[in-house]
Amino acid sequence: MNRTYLGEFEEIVLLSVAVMQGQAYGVVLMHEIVEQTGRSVKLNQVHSALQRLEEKGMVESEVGGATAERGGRRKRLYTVTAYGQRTLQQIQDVRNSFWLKLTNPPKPAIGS
Amino acid sequence: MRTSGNHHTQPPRLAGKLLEWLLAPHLRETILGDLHEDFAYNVKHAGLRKARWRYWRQALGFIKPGYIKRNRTRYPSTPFITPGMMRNYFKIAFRNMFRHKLYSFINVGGLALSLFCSLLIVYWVRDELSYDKFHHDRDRIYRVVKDFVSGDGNRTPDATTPPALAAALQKDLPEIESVTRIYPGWNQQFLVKQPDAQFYEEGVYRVDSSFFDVFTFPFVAGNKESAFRTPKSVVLTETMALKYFGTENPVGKQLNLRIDGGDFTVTGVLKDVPGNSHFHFDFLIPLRRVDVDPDTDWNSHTFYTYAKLKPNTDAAGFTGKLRLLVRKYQPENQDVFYVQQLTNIHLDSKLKWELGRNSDRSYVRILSFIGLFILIIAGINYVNLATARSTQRAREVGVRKVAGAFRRSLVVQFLGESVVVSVFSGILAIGLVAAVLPFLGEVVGKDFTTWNRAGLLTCLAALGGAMIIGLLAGVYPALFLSSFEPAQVLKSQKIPGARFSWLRRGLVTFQFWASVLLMIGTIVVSRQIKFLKTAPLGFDKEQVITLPNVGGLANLDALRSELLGLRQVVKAGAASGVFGGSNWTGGMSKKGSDQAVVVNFMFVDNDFLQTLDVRVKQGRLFSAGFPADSTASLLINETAARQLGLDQPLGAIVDTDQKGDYRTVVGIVKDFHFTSLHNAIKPFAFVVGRQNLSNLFIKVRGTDMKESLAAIEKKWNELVPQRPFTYIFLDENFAALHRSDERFQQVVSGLTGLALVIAGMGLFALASFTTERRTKEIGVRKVLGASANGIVLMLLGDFLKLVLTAILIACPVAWYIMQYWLQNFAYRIDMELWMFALAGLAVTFIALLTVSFQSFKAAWMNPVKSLRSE
Repeated sequence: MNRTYLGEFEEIVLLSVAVMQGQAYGVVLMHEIVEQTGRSVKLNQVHSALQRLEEKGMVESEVGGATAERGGRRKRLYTVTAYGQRTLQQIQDVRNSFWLKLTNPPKPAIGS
Repeated sequence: MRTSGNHHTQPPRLAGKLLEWLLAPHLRETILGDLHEDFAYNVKHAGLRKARWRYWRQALGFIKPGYIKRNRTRYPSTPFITPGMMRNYFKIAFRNMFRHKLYSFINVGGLALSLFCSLLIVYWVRDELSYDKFHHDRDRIYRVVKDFVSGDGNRTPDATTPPALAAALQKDLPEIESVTRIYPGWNQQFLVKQPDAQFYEEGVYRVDSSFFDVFTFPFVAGNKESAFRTPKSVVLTETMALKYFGTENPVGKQLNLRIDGGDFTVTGVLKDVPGNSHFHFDFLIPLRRVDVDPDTDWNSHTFYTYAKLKPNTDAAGFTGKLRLLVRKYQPENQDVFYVQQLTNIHLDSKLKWELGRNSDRSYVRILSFIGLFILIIAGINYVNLATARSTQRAREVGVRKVAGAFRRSLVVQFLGESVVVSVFSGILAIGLVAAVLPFLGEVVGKDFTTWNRAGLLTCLAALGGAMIIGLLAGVYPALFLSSFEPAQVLKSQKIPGARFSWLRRGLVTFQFWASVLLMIGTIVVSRQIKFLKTAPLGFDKEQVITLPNVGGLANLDALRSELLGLRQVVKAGAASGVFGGSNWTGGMSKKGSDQAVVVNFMFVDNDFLQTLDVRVKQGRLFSAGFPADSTASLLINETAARQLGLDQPLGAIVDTDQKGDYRTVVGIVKDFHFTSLHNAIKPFAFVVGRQNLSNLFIKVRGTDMKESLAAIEKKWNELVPQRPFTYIFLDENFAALHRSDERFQQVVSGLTGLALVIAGMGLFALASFTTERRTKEIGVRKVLGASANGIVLMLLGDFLKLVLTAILIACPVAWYIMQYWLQNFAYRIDMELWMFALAGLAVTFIALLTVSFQSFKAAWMNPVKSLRSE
């Protein structure tokens, strides 16, 4: 297993980018994460996670359209790259195999 | 574009600005956009107050190095100064200058004129401040002076000291490095004889040989060791060497000075005394008096003492020791001795018996302020005109911005423009100064040079100063012009801030404030000088010719009677001194009292007082009818009678020399000004004495002064062929006392005039621009029925308000400053209301004149014309 390390928060951000399907940018990601996880997330955290993900090559971004409620400023829209997809898949696979072991233990668990 | 119009739903502006400034450009837009969107969401869901608070919290989260660090590689930045753009800036600047000739003329002309004035002032101030700074170790050189304390405790600050002081200082005080005495000519005329020329010279100083240790006067020939080896040595200045010996080397030659028996040997030649020295001499001879030994003489107060102290000597501590020293040698002496720093004498010392006429620090201050004001006024013109003209440049700004100009490059462009204008003006001003300075130096009596190191440095500094003014004056217009939004200025007529902004109001008010201040100053100064010139002196100085070299003349009586025979001569009298020139002073006291008072006095003959028409208040003048007058009578003025404490002055007996020369007061003369009106009238006395009469005063009649002079000269040459004929006019002698005041008045009035012209020019241009901008408005007003007069009043009203405010602020300041200046004079005018009113009216009038021309033009214009043109 030879992949880039991904932090827990990064993983969540990467996941939400994937969920948004091309419509992901800073502030909606924040709202999404707040809604899904229920923890308080600050915008600067989201932005720095996105920056790191982009540096690692998991997401790519392009400048998108401006709206009035943004004060006429454009957004930076993020999409997950194939590498990002693969990474997410790998994480999922690792977890699944652990979960499988957890739910179907080869031996009975001691002391339960 | 921001479309959410309501200001209150905008996020906190300060936080936005902060981030805009801090964040790296490549992140700025998305982050700010996200913040904005979040804010809009919060406003909807949590209310405005919470939204604003959250915005701040979120925004502060971005103040981290990761968001601030600029990303250099992503977008290469365009350098905003490129040769091509510079060329373009210059081209546009010059086109603008040539297109708007009036505007450019006012800018460049006004700035050049003001720089010219200030540069002249700088030259003058620098010269004033440079006095006596050419000596080595100048900080360690002090003059020892004293307050003469009379018996009744009155103190008279006096620059002279007894000669024994220097000897005592040298002997007793280890702090002294060297000390020298100066015994000046005391207005004595020395007849210097050479086989082929004879002249009267005044600049003969007797000094100690240590003179050259204390002061720095470089030798051209000879040296300080050999200068005063023999008592009959004389050291001359270069000019004098040229005058008496031509181009040959004078060292070793003989010069007849007619002092102490004749021939002196020239032992050295000095460079001429610089103009910025507080004393001037042409000849130096060793200090040697036959009658008394100077080293033990504590009584003659006719010497000056200069001391160079050892390094790191505390002047205050030295003063203490000095006083103890005087107590030790002269326990009876009440005088308070102290020291003055050499370099401060010219500007700060106002003692009795100065070696020359000193200047005053207040002149330096006042002129510096005027210079500064003039510069500021011209700078304000620039700011005002540049912003008022913004309409014309707005389109250019818009086009440049659309073509991709950064704000920074526009700022550079406009700043550069103003620097170009100011440097151009600076060069003009320097050229003008270089052309005018030699003549001006003659007028103010200083030798100014542009082409030496200091002069060139001043010019360079002026150029630097011009640049700084350009930058300062350019900052506001540059920021203002570069702030235009291209869409706005290109689309509509409306230029933000082209109206009469508060800043411009403030600047114009300041201009008027300075103008009114200067105007009041000019009026007060002129009145005071007029007062000085016309104030009755208490004697008649008109039509009096003074022959200053009759001292010791054997046939003085014969000369006088011959002169009286001339039909032009009314009266003739002789005296030991000249009013407005020199007189003697001494302590006198009432008989039986030990309260001595310093009294100025003169030896006169019986006719002198009538010749000058000095008026008697009580008693009589001297007369040949009272033989006792020549030995035992005294005339005093009112002040002397008062200060001597004579209740019954007539017949009172006064000890005139503190040694028992008792004389009876036979008359009181009315107070008269025997010196400049800077000083209060002091006690004065007249004594009859034959041997000291050195000036002959001749009152002539008729208007043909030339003819009178020719007749007198003829008689002189017949009777006194051995002496050259010289004369002075008494009134001119007196006018000379106030020459520096008069010069000051001329300078202040001249500068005030210039300041008004510059301010007026600026106002004229400003008015023409603002009026031009309101052409349409005026057209509409006229169509709607406004009268031409109403429109003129409306346009004038704008400016009048400013002028009136300026006058109100200026009056108290002017009153304070002029009160300070008037303190220089013991006899002065009162400042009256009309002076302020006149200045205010004059400035208002000038303002109205400059503005109304434009206003009338605008008001009389046919509205059809102004409204049709689109």
